[in-house]
Amino acid sequence: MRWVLTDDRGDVAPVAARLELRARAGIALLGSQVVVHGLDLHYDCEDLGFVHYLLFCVTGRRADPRHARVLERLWVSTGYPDARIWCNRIAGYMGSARVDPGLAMSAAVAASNSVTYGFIALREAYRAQQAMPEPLPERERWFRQKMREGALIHGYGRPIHGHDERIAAALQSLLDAGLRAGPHLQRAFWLHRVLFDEKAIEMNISAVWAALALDFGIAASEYEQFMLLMFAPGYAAVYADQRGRPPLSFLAGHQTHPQASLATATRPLDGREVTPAAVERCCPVPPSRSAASDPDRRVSAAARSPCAE
Amino acid sequence: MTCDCLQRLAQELAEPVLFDEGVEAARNACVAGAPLASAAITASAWYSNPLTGVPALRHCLELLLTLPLQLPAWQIALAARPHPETRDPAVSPGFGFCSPLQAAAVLGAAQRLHRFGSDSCRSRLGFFLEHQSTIGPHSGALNQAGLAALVFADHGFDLDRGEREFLMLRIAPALVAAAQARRGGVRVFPFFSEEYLYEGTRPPVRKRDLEALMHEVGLD
Repeated sequence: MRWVLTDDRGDVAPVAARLELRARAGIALLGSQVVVHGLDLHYDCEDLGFVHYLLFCVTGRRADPRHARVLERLWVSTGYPDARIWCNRIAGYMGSARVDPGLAMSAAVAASNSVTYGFIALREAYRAQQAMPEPLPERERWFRQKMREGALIHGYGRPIHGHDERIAAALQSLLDAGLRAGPHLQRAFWLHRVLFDEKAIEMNISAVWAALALDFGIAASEYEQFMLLMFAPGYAAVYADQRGRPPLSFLAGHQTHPQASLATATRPLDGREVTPAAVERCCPVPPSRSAASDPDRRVSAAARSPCAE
Repeated sequence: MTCDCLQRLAQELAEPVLFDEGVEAARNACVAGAPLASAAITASAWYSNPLTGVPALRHCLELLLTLPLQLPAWQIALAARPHPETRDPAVSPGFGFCSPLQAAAVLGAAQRLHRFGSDSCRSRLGFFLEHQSTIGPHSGALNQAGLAALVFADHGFDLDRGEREFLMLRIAPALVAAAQARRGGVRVFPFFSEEYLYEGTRPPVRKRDLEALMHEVGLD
């Protein structure tokens, strides 16, 4: 059975006459040529490196190679493979359950679209850097106003406590690329000093990333699109680690509850209790391996059933 | 399947005792303030896992739709064996991978659903319950996917409908839990509270001189 396109009245649309897809990003002439923002992908872009090419795809502009190299190092320097980090935990759960990598990475990226950390926090940090006036008197007035309002300035203070080790790494990459701090980075550090002196609040890496992006001429919407995959190495490392461990063993059998609801957490809503006797009847296990204490309790029940043993 | 049956199954699967890592992953997805769409994506992904998710549901449903109501056939079809894709040992789709507590809760839910259903739409569920003590040692304990598959099979769902309904049933409670976690916020969520045992090697700690770097790039 063939499928056909229809319009919103359900009429079959003559494609050539009425349906048009306009695009500027590029065209894939399969078997012949792939054009990206006016360049031939296979002749003009392959030397860019992945991060530079991604930036090119997002912006349509070839970046200064030194900028591209700095940005690539920023990405590398935040690929933290620690399973405790919230978005990495998502990847850990996925690897442990053998979820396909594509779905697993989608979930980790989606979870990174958050306010306290992640992409929304990055967006707000960019806006904060963008909003900071250049002339010093005006900037000081802006700062005082923020303090009077009790406003949170994204990129400073929470959620990072103490020094953010990525800041020195970012400056090192700038130095290694033969670059000096641009005006936005200067202002970002000015705010860091003022906040530290007055409130003992330090900057975190999102302020540095945003300031560098502004100094490199990356617009807000471009910044959001471009930064999307920067945590992916962390997700991938945790996913792979947990995928290699026993199935469903990652933080197995644990649920996070508000403390007040703990008493009802394992009880059906209508008051029906799950009794120990019912548990024993259903899935006998040695007495020492209770549901609460058995670390490998999620190994397939069949493997531990009397039949299998 | 009648609307009442679906609602009843939804109620059973929304019991906190049956929450699994799909729910917990959804909480994690939203606790730092991400939209509920993030939890929906996360839960959809997790419930697509081959062990207790959609592939297990589909495989189990496919078996149940064709199995005659004869015990030897069920014992053979539902016997745990290495998973063909994941190579995890001793997997029977719709069975295993649940704690003893959850296994008991799933069985309790199966019994209530059987009592609730009409004679015409509970034959496989009834057959399983009648023989579960004989089937269990071969298959492992019935899990949430297996319960759903039994109910779906009794109601003649095809695989696509089973997949669709299963995802909806599993994602809904995860979204409720995710919204609750988001309301609480990341400050009250016990991140970094578990003991972390790093099993790899560690290079020596090195430090960059931030002040010197600031000077060198002109940030004096």
